[in-house]
Amino acid sequence: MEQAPLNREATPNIQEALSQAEQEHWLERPNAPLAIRLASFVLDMIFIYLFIHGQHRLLQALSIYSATSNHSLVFLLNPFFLGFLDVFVRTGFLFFYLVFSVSQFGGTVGNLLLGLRVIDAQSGRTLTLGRSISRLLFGLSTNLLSLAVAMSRPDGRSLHDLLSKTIIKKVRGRT
Amino acid sequence: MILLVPTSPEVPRFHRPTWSVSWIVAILLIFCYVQFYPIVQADQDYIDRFQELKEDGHLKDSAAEARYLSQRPLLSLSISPKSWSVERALFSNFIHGGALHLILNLIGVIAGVRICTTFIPFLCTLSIFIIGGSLGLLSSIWITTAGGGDWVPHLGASAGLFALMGTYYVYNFRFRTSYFFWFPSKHGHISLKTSWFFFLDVILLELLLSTAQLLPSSFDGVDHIAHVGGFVAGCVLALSLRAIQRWPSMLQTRGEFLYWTTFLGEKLKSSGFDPVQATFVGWMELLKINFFNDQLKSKLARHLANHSASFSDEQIKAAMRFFGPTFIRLFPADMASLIQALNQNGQSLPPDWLKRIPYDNIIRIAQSLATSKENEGTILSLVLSYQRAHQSNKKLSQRLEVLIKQMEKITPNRLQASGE
Repeated sequence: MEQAPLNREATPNIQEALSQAEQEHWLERPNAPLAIRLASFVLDMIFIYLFIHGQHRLLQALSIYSATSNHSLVFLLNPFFLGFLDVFVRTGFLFFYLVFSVSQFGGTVGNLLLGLRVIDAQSGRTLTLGRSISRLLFGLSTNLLSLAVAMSRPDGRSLHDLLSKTIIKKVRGRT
Repeated sequence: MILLVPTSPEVPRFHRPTWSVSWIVAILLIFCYVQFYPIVQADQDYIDRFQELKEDGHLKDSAAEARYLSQRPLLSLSISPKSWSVERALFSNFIHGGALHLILNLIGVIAGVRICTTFIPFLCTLSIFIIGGSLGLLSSIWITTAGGGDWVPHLGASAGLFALMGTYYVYNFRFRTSYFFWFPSKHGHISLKTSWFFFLDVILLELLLSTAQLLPSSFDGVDHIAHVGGFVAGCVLALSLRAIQRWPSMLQTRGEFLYWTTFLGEKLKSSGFDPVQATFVGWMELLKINFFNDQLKSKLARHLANHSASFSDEQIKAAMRFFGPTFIRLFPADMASLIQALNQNGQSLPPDWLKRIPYDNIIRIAQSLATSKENEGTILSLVLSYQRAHQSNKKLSQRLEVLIKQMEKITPNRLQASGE
């Protein structure tokens, strides 16, 4: 795949030069095979299910407890508050897992476990929070179509990656 | 469909646990299941009869129901919140309510016993399984809120299994675990940090579910509190055992520990009374036994960095063999301080080591060095040495040339750094 050359002239210090070298290195790594990406997706679904299932059960038990208990502070556990807490915790977790981790660490837990890294297709940089959110939204809105596109392309890039100008590279293991 | 199954701690082949001892516990569990199956069956019939009596109106109040349930046959073998004894708590670990319950626990127990024997003798493993499991079950009957479950038997090997899990985390928390993975196009082994899965297994899976069980309404037939209790008991027992054994925190396997306690003293005597050389010999000997031990490698790297002038090029070369790509990715700061110290003393990096280190490792070390402006010369020297070692790789060499030119613009001291 053709990559645009990086602008090395504007480098102000050694750390920048090394970061650019690292980004170029990521770009030269092979694209992640579809099978590994699917495996990382399944792993992510398992982890997300475990957390959401656990916290939902906990809140469900709290709700039953609040209905049966005579404790003086039980009014804090009213259905409105518990419902709000449920949505808040779940949204916070999903934001951290699917958006923040991609922008901060270069991938979700599943990606990182299997040695994948989500980067900008042009510069090799990790995504900003905004890019990470837009990539997730593209992914959610195109889901199966995105998979079909990935299966039909020789480089294995999915539709939401193409739309958000990102690419997933396999950063561990030999090329 | 994918699989990711922990198989053993990441250790050399000859340290890997064997299956043989875990079958002893498995056979014990199967024997107990077969031996006491009539009592389990009688208990099932007893409960069916209880439902019939309740529907027919023969059991008029809760006191009558409690009187009837207190005579459950299974309570002669296992414990419940209203009826327990230490002997029955110990025995409950070997009793199962059905074939599926037994099979699921057998898989876990076989794997757990096998994996724990990498660190501790079989009898210690078995003791932790029984004592930790019993404490887990007892904690469950003491903590569970009073209610409809007063006469429900708490049994099964799962609390003991969680005690073994706790033992494994105590001994291997700072090291890695080898997982077997399988998905349609590929399969093999992958090593991941044990601490990552500690958070996934224990925090995500069990703590949330057991907190829910603390409240009066139970959602499933699984005793999550016994699991957490067993896990905590296993951790405490393993920590106590480690303290009694005086197990140093940087040792991973039992083989290293036995060598440390039995043979290392003699070996060190032969290296004389120089503490710097004796420490070097000690870490090197242990690394020869387990070359996956990153804690030892970290200690060795720091030791070399602190006393680099005391070691010959041959010793440096021998030590650098242990600093592979994974170690550098996990401990770039240790490698950076070692390379800085070697550079300061005018000692060169072994070309063999540079040849087998991937490019991203060099970038990581350089990034770690770049936190201080004083190290710019060392970084340049490192990249130059790396380029020299990879001259045959044209593409990499060109890329490094670009990086060197870039760095030269920032730091105009190439000649000084390379010592040319």
